[in-house]
Amino acid sequence: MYLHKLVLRSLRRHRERGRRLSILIALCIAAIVFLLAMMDSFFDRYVRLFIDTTTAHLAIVHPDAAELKRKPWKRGAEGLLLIEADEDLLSFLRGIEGVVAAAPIVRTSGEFLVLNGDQQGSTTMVGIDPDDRQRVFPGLRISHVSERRDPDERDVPVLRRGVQFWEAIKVATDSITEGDLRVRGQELVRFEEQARDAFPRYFSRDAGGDRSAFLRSLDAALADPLLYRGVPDRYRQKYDWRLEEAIAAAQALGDGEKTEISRIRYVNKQLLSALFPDAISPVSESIQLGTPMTFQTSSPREVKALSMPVVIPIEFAGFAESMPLYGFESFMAIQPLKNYLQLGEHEFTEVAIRLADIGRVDSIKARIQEYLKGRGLNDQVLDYREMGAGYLPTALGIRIGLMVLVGLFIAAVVIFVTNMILLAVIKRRREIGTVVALGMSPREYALLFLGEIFVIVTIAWIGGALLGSIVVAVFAKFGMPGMVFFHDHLLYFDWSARHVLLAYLFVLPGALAAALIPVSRVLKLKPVEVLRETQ
Amino acid sequence: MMLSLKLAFRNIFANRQRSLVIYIAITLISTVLFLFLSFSDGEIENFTNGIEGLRNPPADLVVSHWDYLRAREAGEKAESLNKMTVTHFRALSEKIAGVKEVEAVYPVTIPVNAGLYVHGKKYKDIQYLGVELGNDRHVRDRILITEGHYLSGQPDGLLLHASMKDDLGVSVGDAVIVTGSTLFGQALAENFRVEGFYRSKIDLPTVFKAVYTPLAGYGLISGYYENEAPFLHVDLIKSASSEPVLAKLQTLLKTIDPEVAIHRFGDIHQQSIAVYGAIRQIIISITLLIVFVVMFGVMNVVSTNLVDRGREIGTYYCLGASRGFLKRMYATEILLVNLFASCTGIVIGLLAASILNGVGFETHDVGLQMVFGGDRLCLATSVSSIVWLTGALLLVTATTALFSLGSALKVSPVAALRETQN
Repeated sequence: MYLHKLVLRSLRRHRERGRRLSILIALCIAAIVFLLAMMDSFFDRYVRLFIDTTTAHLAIVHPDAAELKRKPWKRGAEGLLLIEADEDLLSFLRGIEGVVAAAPIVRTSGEFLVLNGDQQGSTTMVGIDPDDRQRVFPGLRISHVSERRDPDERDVPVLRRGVQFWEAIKVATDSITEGDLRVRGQELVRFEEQARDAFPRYFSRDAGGDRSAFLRSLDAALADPLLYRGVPDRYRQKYDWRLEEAIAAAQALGDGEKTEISRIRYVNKQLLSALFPDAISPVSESIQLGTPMTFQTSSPREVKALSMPVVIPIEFAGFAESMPLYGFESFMAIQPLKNYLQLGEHEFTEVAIRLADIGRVDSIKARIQEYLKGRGLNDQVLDYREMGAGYLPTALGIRIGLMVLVGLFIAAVVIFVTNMILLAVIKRRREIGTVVALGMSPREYALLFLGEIFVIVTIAWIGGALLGSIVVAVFAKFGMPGMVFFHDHLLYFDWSARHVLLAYLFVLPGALAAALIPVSRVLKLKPVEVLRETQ
Repeated sequence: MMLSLKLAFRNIFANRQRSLVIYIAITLISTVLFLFLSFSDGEIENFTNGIEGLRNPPADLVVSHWDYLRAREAGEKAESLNKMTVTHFRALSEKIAGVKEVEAVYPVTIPVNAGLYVHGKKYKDIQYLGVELGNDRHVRDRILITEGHYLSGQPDGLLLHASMKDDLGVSVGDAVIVTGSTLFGQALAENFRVEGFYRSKIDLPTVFKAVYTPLAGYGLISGYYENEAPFLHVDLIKSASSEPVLAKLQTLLKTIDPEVAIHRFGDIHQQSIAVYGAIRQIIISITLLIVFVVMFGVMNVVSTNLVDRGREIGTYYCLGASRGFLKRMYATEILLVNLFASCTGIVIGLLAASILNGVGFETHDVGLQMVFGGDRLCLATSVSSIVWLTGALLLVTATTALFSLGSALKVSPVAALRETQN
């Protein structure tokens, strides 16, 4: 029963090796804590993200819509699948203990069109009461909201879906280079002549065919706030709305207060491209708030081979980002959307329900199903797992991958511990011989080794848990970059004592099991041989 | 150098138990890392050969409108890019096919998003693609006909994905209306007939809405003229090198049709592998973390081993070995073990990958299909993965040599000799 004393003494004697092994195991434990935290944080936050921005915890939908929500890769026919949600139903839902909010929603898909008819992007338009929106989808990231609204404005304010990477303008909007020119050969020569003729003061007459000098002059013209005044009248004799709009924009900027040079260059580039549309590529229209737009969607009921779309005049009042990578939802107030779609007072596509506790999803779902059945309604209740079928594979895939890596680290610990004890057995043969001669059995000495490993792993666990927790805390505070699935591409970690404990429970048995292999050699040692060797 | 190499070899076998521990650890880690990177490569390969392969079949060279590349780089919208096509593509194909290094030339279309009206219901966002019958190996080789037959050549024939049979409730022989608008905004309502259903050999939910029709039918849907195609893809014979042929074809096209230009495949078609690219980034970041921890492990094992080999080091000193020589010798020893282990890991990984690919793990679960990049698990190998893995393990070796050898070689020859005498 003096074994613990021997363990401590032995550790003191071989502290150099013990220290190295402790550092190594501590690093592995820190890595395991980190990976477990990453695994759970990714999964939990990803699930929370789609619940908080897209699906809510539960939704009541039309039976055919339920099938489409469970299998988002399936195509649904045009026209809305509507349910009746009257005051009784909404009162019942809001009265259930654990329900934070229940919001009727109209969800439809369509396109944003700019005034000239060009498509700016497609979206899923979610019509929801603005107060309900915040309660049901608290994870929506709403930004750049413009509060200044004209009360007589007829355009419906819309929170546009987050700008996707392919919508970002990747070319310079404030300069003209060779890449902007649509012409070559004789057409380019003709364009050069036209440009020199239209704006003689920017081009030197003796430049001849020097292309780079021509481009420099063209580029220099962009900086002039009064460039629009130089547009020859002959270009305006035939009405061209693009040119008129470009001139108006340039005039507003040129005659107005002093503004940024890049903005002047941008409107002048637009002006030149409107003036010479065959020669200069059009400048991509940036996505701006406050400009009149159109949302075009299919008719909710009338389905024909060719039918008139429903056109809603809108204005982007801000941005709402739901799921990065997959988030295509824009938001508007439910009533105007219902008016344009001519839906009845109680007609909706779904009722989204947010709960206080995710653990109560199944019980509340069952209660709602019972209520609907009692009223003879065929509508279906879906939970976030069914509605998140399109998102969960990513989270599951990453979880499985990280689990494999945790296993890899445990295997690394096993290998390193085995090596360490193997060496110790070789190195300490004389010591083993001595203690055996003094009456200690090989079994007791094997226990001594295991005791040492227990102490080393426990000390390493404290250090590793501390280190791992610090790393997790850093990522909890600043977020892990490069995670494109989350807002700002940052994954924020959640520290949990469970991860620290799990790391210990994974590593300790592994290390003890690993130690058994070399320790079994000690058990096979013949005292006589060891003593002879010692002499 | 040869002497240190020789001694390093001898030492590996003289201390085989210790070498074995590092060997096993590095082998295990490189196998797992290799399989991870293979999985990521496989996802991308599945995606490239599956959905991307159907939309933009990989080729050596691509013929496009002369201004297409510039206009796309200048950020021009689809409305303007759609107008940039290869006109008289058949005559041009014949000329290009006449070049001896060219194996095949075929037109490739861009998907037209339009609706499908069937049995009183309209389905939006179906993607229509055109094929030139008889010159469509790039499609035929990638699909399997599950019902009906391949396109017969009738301009109103449609080949739908098998999933549409249930989703849309259509059958072979059904009359349908393709509806919406052409690429140029004209109203579209054309009668078609379902000729068959296909499944992609590497299926993915995003391919479900791709519908094939002969070029004549595609012309009705897209608004293109009969002799107009967005791109011509050019496959070269295996022995041909693409750069000289590219230069040759550039000269040829300049004389016969200055309205077109020829480019490398990658210049025209940029694949959208955003999600799989992000997963790969995560995997690579994690391999860095593993390599970091493994580095400490190997350093620890090596320095422990060298402490245990103090007498050996002392003997070397007594025999006149310099510190630099010993550093070189032990670094070579570690390098050989690590290199051999990482090669073994890669070989085991390759074997495991080929076994798993041979077993052919297929899934009908759409979630798993999204994770795999297709309906089967594919573990692929890329040179970049092998270079990354070997480079990381060489870094482990270099760091170990730099930080572990210095202190471990500080052995007094006298003390070492005394220990030997004992």
